Amino acid sequence: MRIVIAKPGLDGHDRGAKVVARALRDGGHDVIYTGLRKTPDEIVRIVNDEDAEVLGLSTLSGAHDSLIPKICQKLKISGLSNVVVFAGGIIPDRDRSDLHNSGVRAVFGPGTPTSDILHFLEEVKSRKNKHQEVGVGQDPGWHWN
Amino acid sequence: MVLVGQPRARSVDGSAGEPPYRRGIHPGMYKDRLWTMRQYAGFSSPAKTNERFQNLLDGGQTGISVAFDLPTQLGFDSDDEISSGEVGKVGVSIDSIHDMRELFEGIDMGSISTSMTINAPATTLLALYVAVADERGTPREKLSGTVQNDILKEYISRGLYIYPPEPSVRLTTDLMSWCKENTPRWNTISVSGYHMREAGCTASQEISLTLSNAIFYCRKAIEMGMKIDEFAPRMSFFFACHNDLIEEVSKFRAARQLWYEMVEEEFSPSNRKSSQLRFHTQTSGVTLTAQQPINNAVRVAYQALAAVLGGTQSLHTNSFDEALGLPTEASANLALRTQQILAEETGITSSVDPLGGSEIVESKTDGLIEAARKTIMEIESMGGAMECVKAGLQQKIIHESAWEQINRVETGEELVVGVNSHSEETAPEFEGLVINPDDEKNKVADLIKFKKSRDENQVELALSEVRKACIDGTNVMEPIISAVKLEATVGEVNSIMREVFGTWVAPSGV
Amino acid sequence: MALELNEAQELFKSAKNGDRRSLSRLMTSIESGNIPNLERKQCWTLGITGPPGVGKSTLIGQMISHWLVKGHRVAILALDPTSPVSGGSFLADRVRMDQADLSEEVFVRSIASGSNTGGIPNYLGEMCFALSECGWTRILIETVGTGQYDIRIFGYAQRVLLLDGPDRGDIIQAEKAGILELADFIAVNKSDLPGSESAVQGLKLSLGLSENEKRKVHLVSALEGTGIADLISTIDSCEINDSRRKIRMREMLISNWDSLLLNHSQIDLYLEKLCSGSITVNDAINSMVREIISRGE
Repeated sequence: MRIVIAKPGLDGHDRGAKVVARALRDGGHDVIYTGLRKTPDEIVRIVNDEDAEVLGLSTLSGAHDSLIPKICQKLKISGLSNVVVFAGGIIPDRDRSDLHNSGVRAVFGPGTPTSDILHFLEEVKSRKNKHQEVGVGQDPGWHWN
Repeated sequence: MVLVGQPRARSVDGSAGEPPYRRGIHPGMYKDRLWTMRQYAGFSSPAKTNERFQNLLDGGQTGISVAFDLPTQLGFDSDDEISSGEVGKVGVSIDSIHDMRELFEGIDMGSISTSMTINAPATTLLALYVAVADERGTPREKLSGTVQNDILKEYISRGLYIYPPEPSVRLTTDLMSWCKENTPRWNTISVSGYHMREAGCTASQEISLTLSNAIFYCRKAIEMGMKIDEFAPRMSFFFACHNDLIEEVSKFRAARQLWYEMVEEEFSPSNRKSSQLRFHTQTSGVTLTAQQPINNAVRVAYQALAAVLGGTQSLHTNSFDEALGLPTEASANLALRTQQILAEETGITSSVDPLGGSEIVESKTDGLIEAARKTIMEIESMGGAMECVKAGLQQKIIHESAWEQINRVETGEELVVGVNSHSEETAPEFEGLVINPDDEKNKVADLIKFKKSRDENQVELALSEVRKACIDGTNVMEPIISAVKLEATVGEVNSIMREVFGTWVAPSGV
Repeated sequence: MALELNEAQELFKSAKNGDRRSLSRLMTSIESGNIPNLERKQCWTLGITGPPGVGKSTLIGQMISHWLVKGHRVAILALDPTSPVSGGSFLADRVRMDQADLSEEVFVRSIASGSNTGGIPNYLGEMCFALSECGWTRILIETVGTGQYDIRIFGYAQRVLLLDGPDRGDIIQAEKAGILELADFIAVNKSDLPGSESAVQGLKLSLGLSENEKRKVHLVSALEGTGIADLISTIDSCEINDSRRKIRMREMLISNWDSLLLNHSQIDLYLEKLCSGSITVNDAINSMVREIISRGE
């Protein structure tokens, strides 16, 4: 799959984003890493132009609660409702349900084995093949964790 | 041949307080003076952070360490659209002199030592600190503290840079030479290995990348007309402390000796302080796990122990809940208590370099010096630290090491309790610090009001002086101090610099 | 197949009407082999090649700004290597083109080089035609920058810019020899070299060019943005040299040939047979070609 790994917000910690990007590449995916400090508009533009199926968002600054829903919203109004969104970084459990409600399908915290993310993507693929809804703007019933 | 159970010892060259300072920079170390307990703190509004500072000082902390929020560290005002969602999150939000006054309300700037983790806009934040001290009548020469002011590691690993390398380094040296004249007790740079280590490099790479950066700054300062003895005694270092206790203790010893050798070789200073490596240590954030988070308190304690055995001058101990979110007051308090137990109960402060002379520690120290020297030579051969940053070399080194490390954990070669060893299914409930979303709204509203109440013409005029200094190459510090006194904001001063210097994106190293 | 072709045609139509979502889906469609009817008339393309880490993406970032001011619409196709082990790609050059992310007049698309050893997928030509018909007036193709195969870029780009560093060492010299001969423009990326004639002469020598070299060696600083305006004006005023046509066709032919071979459904089987020694290379080629012809590929 074509996957964009993005760093929204201002934090400069991209160890995790780069390692995940590499693990997904080794898992056979085409991965586009955006680099640091991308605004929601820039991220949506990149997802569009790259025609990505999946968007992974990495944030460690605590700004996920406002930035991630904003990005999801912008994807939906830009005709990108079928893009699958997952998040990673330091995201407290209490914030997960809000993210799920925004359309995020998985949240990966510190210490997640990279194989978990690959398994999540396999699940996404098989659901897509069965025409089940997994996109950010589609039926929010299912999430991975 | 390794003889099990046999006591193994080795003689060590030199003693503490003597070159090459392998065993420490002071002869008596903690027998004479404890390390400074300096907890990095800051969140939300200046008033709330001030309250946390007062609590920490009442609780026995001996220095202040300011954590700024990301917009401040990137030179944006709170009301900038790009700051949305980030105001007051990872640190305190400082827009103007008004905020700086509140931050230090009731704290004596003439006696406290203040460390500020600020890099790209270091000149602006130091200017604000000086401006408040001036207002209070605290003499500049009494101000003591540190600004991190280390831009290279921002490009390499921490990501909070603004301007291209050349103008950034010019700001670094402007600050150094201004402090030499005005605030002789101020540490003008804290060359940091911490963030490179956290981003994934190994212990020996932490030494080599940090010292390569430090040598680069020395050369630049000398190019700008300073003498080694005028700035080197005010350079300090900042390292991480990870879990491998013996390796970490050896790392600090190796860094001290290698820095001494490098400075003596290249600059032949007259002041012995010029080649002494003084450093702050912070325990590691990346070794903390979200799984079984209370275990982190134990990790922090062992890491702090290693830092003290390695002879650190000051220490920050992390809170056990940092892999989950922002630390609470209770977890921050436990972190400080961890240091106090080390200092007051364990007895390790009564001897100097207690592990020195151990066969394993001495040979590890030698090995680390040798490995670090090799990488330093490689960087030299490619034109030095800054050229390598532009080519992405250090970024690549770090990414490769991070990749190898995650593979070791995933294959089980490296064990992490709670993650790939002794793991449990159920995750405990966690209550982290919650930043009230109204805090950001209030901060923005206050700033807008503040901007309306100023004399705009004066601000404009003062900012044009900053612009002039940026363009013609004269020292930027005094024009910035004047501008912030006239209530120019952090965002405004730095937008002038963005306009003059432009911005840059560092290679990611992948 | 007909259905997909229809879809490609629809996407092409709405992309031409300025729909960005359709344009990016059209690129995907072309990548997967569903190509709409294109006019294939001449389009403005520039290949940008040079060793990894020399600053190609940063330079492109600078060039974009210049062309935007002149009213151009700039599309960038950035090629990145595909891992031969996993088949995945790391399309990371995006990080250096900071100013490209929001303008409506800039389109950046990363392309996995795929199984093609040339680092240039053979649908690149179709992508360029499609972009051109959709109104993109400057189409830049950034190569991977490694290995002798970068020369295939001459099959797809009307003009080629070689970006180099001032002292890159002999190994790279050998690899880029062919490119150096053919490149229309040569630029050396180095911030702190004075733009003097002597510096240029020194660079010509270090690049292995003769002193009578007619092509101008441009000194640029991708970091500071110096020398870019001059380079742009040289590129913009350059006439397309038709004597290149044959070279272009040759590279395109080789590239397509490679891709036919590499995309052959039985390639792994043939490789195994070759390893075990049960067939010779000639046997393999003969029967693979026969199969390709009989399937009418």
